Amino acid sequence: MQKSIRQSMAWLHSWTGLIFGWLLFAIFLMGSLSYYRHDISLWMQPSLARIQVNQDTAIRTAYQYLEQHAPDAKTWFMNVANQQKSVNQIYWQSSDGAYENKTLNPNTGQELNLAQTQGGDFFYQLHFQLFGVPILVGRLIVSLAAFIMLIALISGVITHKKILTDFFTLRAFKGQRSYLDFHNVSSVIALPFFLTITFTGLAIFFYLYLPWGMQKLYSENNFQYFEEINAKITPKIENNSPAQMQSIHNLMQPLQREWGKTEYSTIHVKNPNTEHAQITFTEAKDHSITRNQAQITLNAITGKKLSRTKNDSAIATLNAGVYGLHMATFAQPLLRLALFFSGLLGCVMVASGLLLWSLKRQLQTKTEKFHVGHYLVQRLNISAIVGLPIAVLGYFYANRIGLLIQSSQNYEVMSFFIIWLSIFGMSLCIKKQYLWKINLGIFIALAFCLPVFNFLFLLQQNLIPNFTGFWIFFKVDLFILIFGLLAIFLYRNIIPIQHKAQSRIRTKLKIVEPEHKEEGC
Amino acid sequence: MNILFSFLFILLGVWGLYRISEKQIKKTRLSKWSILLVYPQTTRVVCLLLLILALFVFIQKEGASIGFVSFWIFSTPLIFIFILSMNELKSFQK
Repeated sequence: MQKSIRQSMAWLHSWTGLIFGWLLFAIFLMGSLSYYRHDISLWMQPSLARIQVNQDTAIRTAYQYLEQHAPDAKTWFMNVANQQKSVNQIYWQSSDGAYENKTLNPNTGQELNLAQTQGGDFFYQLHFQLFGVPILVGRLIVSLAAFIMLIALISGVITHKKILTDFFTLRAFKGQRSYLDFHNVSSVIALPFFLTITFTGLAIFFYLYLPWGMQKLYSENNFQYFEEINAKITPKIENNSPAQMQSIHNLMQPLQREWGKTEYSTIHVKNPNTEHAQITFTEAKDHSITRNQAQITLNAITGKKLSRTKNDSAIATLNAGVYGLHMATFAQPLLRLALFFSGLLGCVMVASGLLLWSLKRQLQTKTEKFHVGHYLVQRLNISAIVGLPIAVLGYFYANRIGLLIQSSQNYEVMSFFIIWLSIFGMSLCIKKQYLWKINLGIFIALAFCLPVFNFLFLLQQNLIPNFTGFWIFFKVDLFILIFGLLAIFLYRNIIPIQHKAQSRIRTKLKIVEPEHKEEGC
Repeated sequence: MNILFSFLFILLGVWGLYRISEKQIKKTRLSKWSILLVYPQTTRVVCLLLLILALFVFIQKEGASIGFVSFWIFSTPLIFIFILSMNELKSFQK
């Protein structure tokens, strides 16, 4: 019999959702954490939290460092230190074309040998290019997952019969219905966020799965596209003789007249110490989705103001808008919190969908026989839904333990994956009824011990000068505590949820068994 | 302050829509909020106007594009919390 469009869409929705569900859960969780990646990085490098940043000093010391160490470079690029990231990060392209980078103390200009932690950037990179696979392969897999997500969203909307009638319906502790309601509510109320984030995520990597246009237009060097989309094309300089650039103090005079006291984001110098040297200052303040921060470009020899170098074409603005919407660089703290929450709702949506799939198949099975597929799905579900957050906590613990024993090697990333794999291995050996309790118990214990451990660590290292200094660390701890409380709520209620589901399965089996016997006779 | 007003407008609009929703309409008729059902279409329009008002408050504060995005992003947790508060979240411990 031919299936209706809704049935076909439901089939597509459930199977694509299952196959990519675990990966999508990880992508959503890592993406949500990435909204706070600078805060996480600061939490993981507590020595940086003590540095007081004065941007004028930071710019002067970084500029002096580059003048001394890379006078004949092709370009200089400075990420100026700010309160969130209290170090200067500088990059330059040397005359032979090689790229170099250094992290500097913003006050002294001395090179910093920081702990080798990846901080929040690990979650950010895991979010869009995975780990342990070549970068392009990782990005392609994530793009495929985003494509599947888009299909699942559209097929989900078509499948959902009563999208408006059931808008406010959430029946908790009612087994399969509750999973379905949680899945529906989380999907529907954050649908605009999901559609936007999925589409923009997919659009950012367009060059990976639709590379032909770029290959045709930029056949010699594909990366030229990225240069042109950000900055206007400048004619190639043939003869470029050395020249003395003005001091950074003089170059900043016109900026202070135009912008007043402001915070800087980046400084970019093209052809430093030559007669075509030009310097571009970018303001940190950004009130646009298209990442259209104010910029001033000066001739670094004469100090004369030059025309804007940013590419303002429609396609460049569209490109910046797509990036801006996905990265939410414009988001102020409260909006960032709401975005984080929406990201977590994505996790809830995927998790409830995965659990619903599993429970539904158990209810549909007419015998109590062991089923390897269902067994594996249940274990993978728990490893993703609880195991991944446990691995995140393990990553934080590994950081603090590494700092405490002053280890020269960094084991944070290794710890993350070992813990995640261990949870999966352990789940394979545990009976179904204990899966949630044991894993949630581990999460709760780790979540409540981490802030205490962190506090003792900070005290021991003398890193708490005052409450403001402590708040930098405590805000991350506070999130962990909130998730710990949420886990306690689940821990206390997981037994009623399981009882309800199991009693339904048993009732169904009792009804079905006599029928089977009769058939057998 | 503006942002608090817009949150309030969103919650009021959503509350009104919830009260006159298909599944709640019987309960609302028997409750003190039955006045909302005298002219249900008007109630619906007023609720939608409140949501549009919230959108304009965001736009006025943040500019057109960020304001528009903010409206949708802030609505999500507000509606989720509203739905949680309107539904029974206590388990049936036997």
